Formats: sequence, C-alpha cells, structure tokens
Amino acid sequence: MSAALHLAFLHAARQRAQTWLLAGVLGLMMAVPFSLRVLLSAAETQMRSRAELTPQVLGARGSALDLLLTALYFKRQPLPRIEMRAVREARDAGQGSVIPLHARFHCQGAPVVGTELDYFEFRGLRLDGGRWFARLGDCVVGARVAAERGLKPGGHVFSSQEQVFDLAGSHPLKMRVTGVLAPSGTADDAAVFADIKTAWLIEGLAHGHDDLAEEDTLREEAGNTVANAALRTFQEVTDENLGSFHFHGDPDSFPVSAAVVLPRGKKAEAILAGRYLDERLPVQLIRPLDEFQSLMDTLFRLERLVLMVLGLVSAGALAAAALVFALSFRLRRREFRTLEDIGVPRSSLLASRALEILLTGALGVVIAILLASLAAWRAGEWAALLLAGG
Amino acid sequence: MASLSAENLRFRHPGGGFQLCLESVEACPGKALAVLGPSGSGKSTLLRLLAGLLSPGAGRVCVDGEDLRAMTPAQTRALRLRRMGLVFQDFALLDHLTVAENLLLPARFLGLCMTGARERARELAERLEVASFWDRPAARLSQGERQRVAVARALAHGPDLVFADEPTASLDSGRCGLVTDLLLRTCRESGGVLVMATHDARAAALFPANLNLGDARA
Repeated sequence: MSAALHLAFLHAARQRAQTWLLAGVLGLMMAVPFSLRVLLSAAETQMRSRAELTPQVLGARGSALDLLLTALYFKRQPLPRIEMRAVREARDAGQGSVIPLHARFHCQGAPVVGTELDYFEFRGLRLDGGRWFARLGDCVVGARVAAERGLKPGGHVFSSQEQVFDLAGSHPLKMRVTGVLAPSGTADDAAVFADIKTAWLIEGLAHGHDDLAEEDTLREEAGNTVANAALRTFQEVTDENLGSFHFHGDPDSFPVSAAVVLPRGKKAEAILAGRYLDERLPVQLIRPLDEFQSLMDTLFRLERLVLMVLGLVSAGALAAAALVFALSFRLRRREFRTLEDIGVPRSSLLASRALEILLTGALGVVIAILLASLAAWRAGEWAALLLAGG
Repeated sequence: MASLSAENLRFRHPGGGFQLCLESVEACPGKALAVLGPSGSGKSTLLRLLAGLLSPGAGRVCVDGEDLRAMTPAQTRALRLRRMGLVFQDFALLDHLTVAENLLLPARFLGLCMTGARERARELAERLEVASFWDRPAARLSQGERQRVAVARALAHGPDLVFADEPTASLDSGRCGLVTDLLLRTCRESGGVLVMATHDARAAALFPANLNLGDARA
C-alpha cells in the first residue's frame, strides 16, 4: 500500500496543474453551499438587527420593500417621494420623533443622505474624528467611505451630477467634510451624511449667488428684469458666501425619500399605524420587521433554488472530474501496462489509482475547509458590504 | 540461482500470420543466451513468452522446473516482480518519475529496504553512467540515457532472471560494450540467467550460447 501511495503522491505532485485544478473544483463544490449559507445567515442577522432598531418608516405608498431598502440601506428606488409636509404632519401628531431621509444623490458611488442630527443618536453612531455637520454644505462621512477615499475632517467631497447635459438640473456641490463616523458594520459606513437642507441645495431647491443689487447684475429689457449672464452662482458653501444661500418655494413641498418614525411607545405606534391605514392616502407607514420577514421568506426560497442549481452544477462538475480521471487513466495505459509487466500486483495498481483520486479529493477538502473558514471569518464584513451595495 | 527451460513452444499472434515455433531452450544457473534474428523473427515475442508476459499456444516454459502455465496470473506477476528483470525494447520508463524513482520502483513494490536498494541503484547508475541524471525526470533524457536507465531498473532489485530486449540498440559502440559486459557479469556473479535479444553480432559473440530465430519462424 505504501508503494501505491508513493506512486499516487508522485503523480499528483508532478501533475500539479491538473491536481490543483481538480482539487479546486472539488473544493469549490463543497465550499460554495456552506459559504452561501453562512453569508446569508450573517446578512439575515444584520438586516434583522437594523430592522428591529427601526420601529416604523414613513414613505410614499407603493412597494413596502422598496421603502424599506430606501430607509434602511439608502437605495435609490423608483418610488415617488413624499413632501416634507407629510413629515411635519407626522410630527404634529405628537406620538414620537420623525427623522426625514433624503437619499437621491450620490457622491462617487456613496449615497448622500440628507437627514437631521437626531439620526446619529437614533442609530447610535459615534464620530471617529471631527465634529457633526453644523451648517449648509457640511457633511459627515461613513467609516468605509473615509477609508476608501482617504477622507479626513477638513477634506472635501463633490456630489455627483445626475445628468451631464441637464444644465438646469442639479449641479455638483463641493461639500466640506466635518467628521468621520466610527465603523458600525452597517450601511451607515458606506454613506455620506449631510443636513437635509444640504440635500435640497444639491437638488437645486436652494442656491447662492453674487449680490444682485451690485452694479449691472440686473437690468430692464423691454419691461422685463433680466439677470446678467455673468452672475456667479456658488458651487461651494463657505463662511463668506453662506449668507447668499436661500431657498425658493414652500419648505413643506420639499421632497423627502422616507422618514424614520420613533413612536413614544406601543400605544403611539398603534395610533400612528392606524393613521396611515387608509390606502387612499399618498403615504404609508410600514413596520420594517414585518417587511424584513417577508423579504427573508423570499430569500430563503431563492436560497433553496440556488442550492438546487448548485447541486446540479456540482453533479456536472463531479461528472467532469470523473471524466478527467478516466481520460487521464486511459492516456496513462502504457504506464500501467509497464507496471503490470514488471509484476506490480493488480491490487496495487488499483490502489494507486484510487489513492490518486483520494489525494485529489483530500486536497479538495482542504481547499473547501480553507474557503469555508474564510467565508465564516469574513461573513459579517461581506454581508455588510453586500447590504451597503459595495 | 535460477534455471529456465522451454519446450515445444508454439505461439501465433491472434489475427496475424506470425507464428513462432521453438523445440527447446534451456538455460542453467549463470548461463547467458543471446537471441539473434532479423527484425520480425520473434525475438521480443520469445522473451515475452519466457517472462510469462505471453502465454504459448502449446508447449511450456519452466522456471526452476515450475511450469508457468500452472501458475495463476497473480503468481506469475509475483514471480516477475521478485525474480525477473525486464528491459523493454521501448524502455517503458515512467516519464514523470525521476531516474532514481524509476530505478527504485520494483524495490518499492517488493517492500525491500530502501536504503540498500538506493545504494545498489546508485551503484548501477554510476556503472551505466547515468548517475548524473539521478534526479532528472525520465522524460528529459536522451534515447541512449533512457536505454541505460531501463537496463539499470531491470537489475536494481537483484533479479536472477534477466530478459533484455535489444538493450544496446540506441547506444554507441563503447556503451554497447559497457551494457553487455554489465549484464553478463551480473548474470555470472548472481548465478542467474540472462536472455538478451540483439541484432548485434559482436555483442552476441560475447555470449556463451546463441539462439538464432531465423529458423524458428514459420
């Protein structure tokens, strides 16, 4: 047996590429289902914890799942937005706090979340450095955004323009980074937070420009008041030009993507839920934990499907591996014939072939264990990345 | 010490017109026999019949008086592994193994002490001038080097029956003499039997007995 093992080991060692390829395929076949389960489990834990910490979410009527993803993970959804009026009315009900969220814009791929300072207290977010935003144009960046882009307090980020050719639409705003959040392992790590007024400024609902009263900025032309084309509008809020920024329109009509509602207690929660039951209303109030459960049910159904497909793919890969071994043994017929001619017992020859397969399988198991351990070790981090859309 | 005999051998390749007929061959301990004959005369076939790799249609081959036909295939294999050294015409080295690993292959399957086997294999490799390729894979050897390694492998586990099928065909005259001398001396010293198929009349002249197969082919 030792001679057969030696011969099998020598062959596996000399045919490294073939051995590693086969072992890699076998390892992946074993590791992927386990890793998928671990990753899903970590994602479930994180999503459940974030959903549990968010009692209610107010948003436009439509897909509750879309609203959940917007409010908890800042995903830009096709849902219509609600007006700030709805937030004010919810506050006026006096049943708890309401934190608006504006998640339409991005900054180099990271969502720019317009909100209020209460949001940080509600999520238990701490600063790793700097201070909270204090005025228009300030922002606080999540830990991952800061690490990936090398941002520090005092630095700047630009919001992304929605459409290059839409000159009348939103323009990039240079925002001052006032603070960096400590890592939380949630979607907050991958976002840029600013005051909701800053988000409206990016949207073009507010602007700042040179003093119109100065020199030739305005003139009368055929009975119309026309501004000079040289009028300078500001793309950055500074201490000097802060006073020139102003909003146009009714603040009640300004858009909000969603709002986190923090009722004072169970009774307040029930009262608020009752207020928005009428399906004719343009807004709805959802309980994230309920929506999360339905999302998880769907995910588990999908997981079963994916595992089934993986099972079929694995069976195919196993058949391919068996074919590779069979072809390899066929190609090496002369080698086995020589060993037979020398007088090597047939049982040793069979053992040598079986051991070659076993060695490759054992290497595959080692690869699978390593991959699965890696998945188990980093599952939390990968799940957070996945949920943050990274 | 070994003896080998064959009587009334008849062999016909299945589907072919070739037929080998041999009345008798006998080799006592320490005897070397050169098998001569033109290409296709059946030299390789005779060696394979004597080594038990082929079964004769009629007649018998005996090793130490024991008829090979009376043995099971497993017993014949065990006999070959333990007592026979075979030099194949196409060398039949395992290309992915090094020279050392090829030489030690029979000893490893016999379960011999590897230290002793390695020493003997090393000595043979030095005598056949292939020791400098000790750790080189067989696939990277020249024809002549492969042939000498094949000879060394046949002798490495100390067999007392050696069947060498044209073991000098790819060698220059100097090394041809070296290999023939080594085979003959080993046979003499061990009291074994050497049967060597060759085209080389000069090499055959060194053997105490020759068998010309020109007449054995029907």
